[in-house]
Amino acid sequence: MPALPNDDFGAKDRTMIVLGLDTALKACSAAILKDGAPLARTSAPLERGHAERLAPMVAGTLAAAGLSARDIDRVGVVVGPGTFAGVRVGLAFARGLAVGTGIEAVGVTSLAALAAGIATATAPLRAAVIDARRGQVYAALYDAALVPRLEPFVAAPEEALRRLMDAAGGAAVALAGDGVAPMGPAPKGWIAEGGPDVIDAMAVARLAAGAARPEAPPAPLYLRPPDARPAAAAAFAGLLARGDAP
Amino acid sequence: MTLVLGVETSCDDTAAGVIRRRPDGACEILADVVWRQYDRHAPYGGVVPEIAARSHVERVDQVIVHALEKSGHIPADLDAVAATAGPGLIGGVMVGLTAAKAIALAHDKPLIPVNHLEGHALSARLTEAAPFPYLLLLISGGHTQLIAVAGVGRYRRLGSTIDDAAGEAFDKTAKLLGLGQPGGPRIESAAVGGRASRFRLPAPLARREGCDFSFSGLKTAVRLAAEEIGTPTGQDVADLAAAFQATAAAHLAARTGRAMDMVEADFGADPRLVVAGGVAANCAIKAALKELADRRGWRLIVPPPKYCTDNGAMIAWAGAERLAAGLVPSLAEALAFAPRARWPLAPPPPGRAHGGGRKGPKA
Repeated sequence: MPALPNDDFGAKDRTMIVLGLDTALKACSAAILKDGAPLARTSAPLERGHAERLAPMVAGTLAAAGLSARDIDRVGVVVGPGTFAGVRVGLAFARGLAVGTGIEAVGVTSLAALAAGIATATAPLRAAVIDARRGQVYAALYDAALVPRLEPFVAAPEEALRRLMDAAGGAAVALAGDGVAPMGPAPKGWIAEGGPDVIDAMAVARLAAGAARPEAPPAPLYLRPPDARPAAAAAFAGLLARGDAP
Repeated sequence: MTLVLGVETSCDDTAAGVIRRRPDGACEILADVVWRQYDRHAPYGGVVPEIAARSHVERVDQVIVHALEKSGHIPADLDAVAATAGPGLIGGVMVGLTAAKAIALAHDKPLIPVNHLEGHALSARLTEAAPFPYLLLLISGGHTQLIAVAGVGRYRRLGSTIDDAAGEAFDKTAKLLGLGQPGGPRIESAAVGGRASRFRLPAPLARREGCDFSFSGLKTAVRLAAEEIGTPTGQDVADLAAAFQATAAAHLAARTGRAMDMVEADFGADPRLVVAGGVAANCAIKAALKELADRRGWRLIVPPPKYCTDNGAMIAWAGAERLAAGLVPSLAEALAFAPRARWPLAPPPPGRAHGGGRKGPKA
């Protein structure tokens, strides 16, 4: 399909089409935003297998919007924290698209994307908390303009709550994400169900649209080191995993 | 003329290549960029899958950009995009394949998910006229197989290792001799000053029919010989490295000779033996195979070392060969293609019962 020319191509304030992607948690989602207005959105719950679902989903979402991939001006992608493999699929796709078409890829954290789903009127501060498994949560605290008060971190649920309370300094906080429940009862005045558990790819597109021009390609935010022990125990793990072709 | 980008991320090399296939079937390599992650894995004594996956996603787009720049082309010029879709470390395969999907989608170009082993199987044709059919000895850190290659997508497996891969055996032996990694080059240089005849290591599978391989017994024999010495000196290590290398080379040549017996009748007057994979860079092994080929009247074809180890050009070339043969999925199918940790190039020979593994054949 040939590129559809933007009808106001060359005009001073030409349109901006942003693709938002999320593969970091338990869903695979794509959304297209044109000059701040939603054009198309697709999402499916998905624990694993993002590598086979994402590309067809983007193709379908573009088709629904009547666009080709070359019409996209910017791609926003969730960089984590989340599942390592999911985060990498989203980033590999966004960065592949960026080098393939010469557009910018912009990273958005899963926590900011969730916090963006909390209505601003609910409380002066917003926090997103995600179940990180292994008895931990990922969390971050934002003000009403989504400026971080506490950058993303990983901790045990009770430790995370303590750090959020310290950073909130007595102000009320609206919470979102599936890591809220493991933290136990919310402090008085906080809103425990302030927002969604699932990232809205349109929110990712909006955050990416409003972001400054990136200086470097987006990189994963793992918050955890790789599982690897130096020397002996890990020796040959790679070769064995790769298979010796019996 | 077909211009193809190839992306390879199945182990610990992040690679991209750009090739052009001429209408007469000849290949022109325009760019071949490899970023080796070796230093990142060295502290762990082997490739760590999670570190490999993290490294691939950090660099794969830049490696692709670098390859395109070197080729003098922009993405829109490409006729197709090829990427390794397995077998290999799944976290890395996922990254390269997904990046390739995005580029193919962006330009509505065919995407060819390539079997990494097919990349190696066709790699001889990157730099040389190697007409089908030929016998392929694939020897790398992950694979050791003998395959009759009748054409693109037409492979018959004659034999493969029943335990360790050849490169794996070099790595493990280098480790137990305290030579460090990567094992292949370390053993090869240690063996230079060694006397192979000092130790009589048992020839693997000497009385076994067929052309399967085995390396774990050989590695154990080296360990026992080293233990018997107690505290090996530099000369002991050199002698052991030389003995191991000579026995491994003789084993590879002996089994390849048996595979020649199996296919010779169908191969015509000018039979060809192609050797591919990283272990093909070993000079002692190359010499043993040359001696075999000369003695049997076969032509030996070994690609230059940089196309024996993992690279993007061979993946691009496999894609171009598939494109020319019409063996390419639709873009919709290719975009939905799932990366595979295990993906045999050809089924095991009939009657093969061993070496399957819980999840089926690995490769």
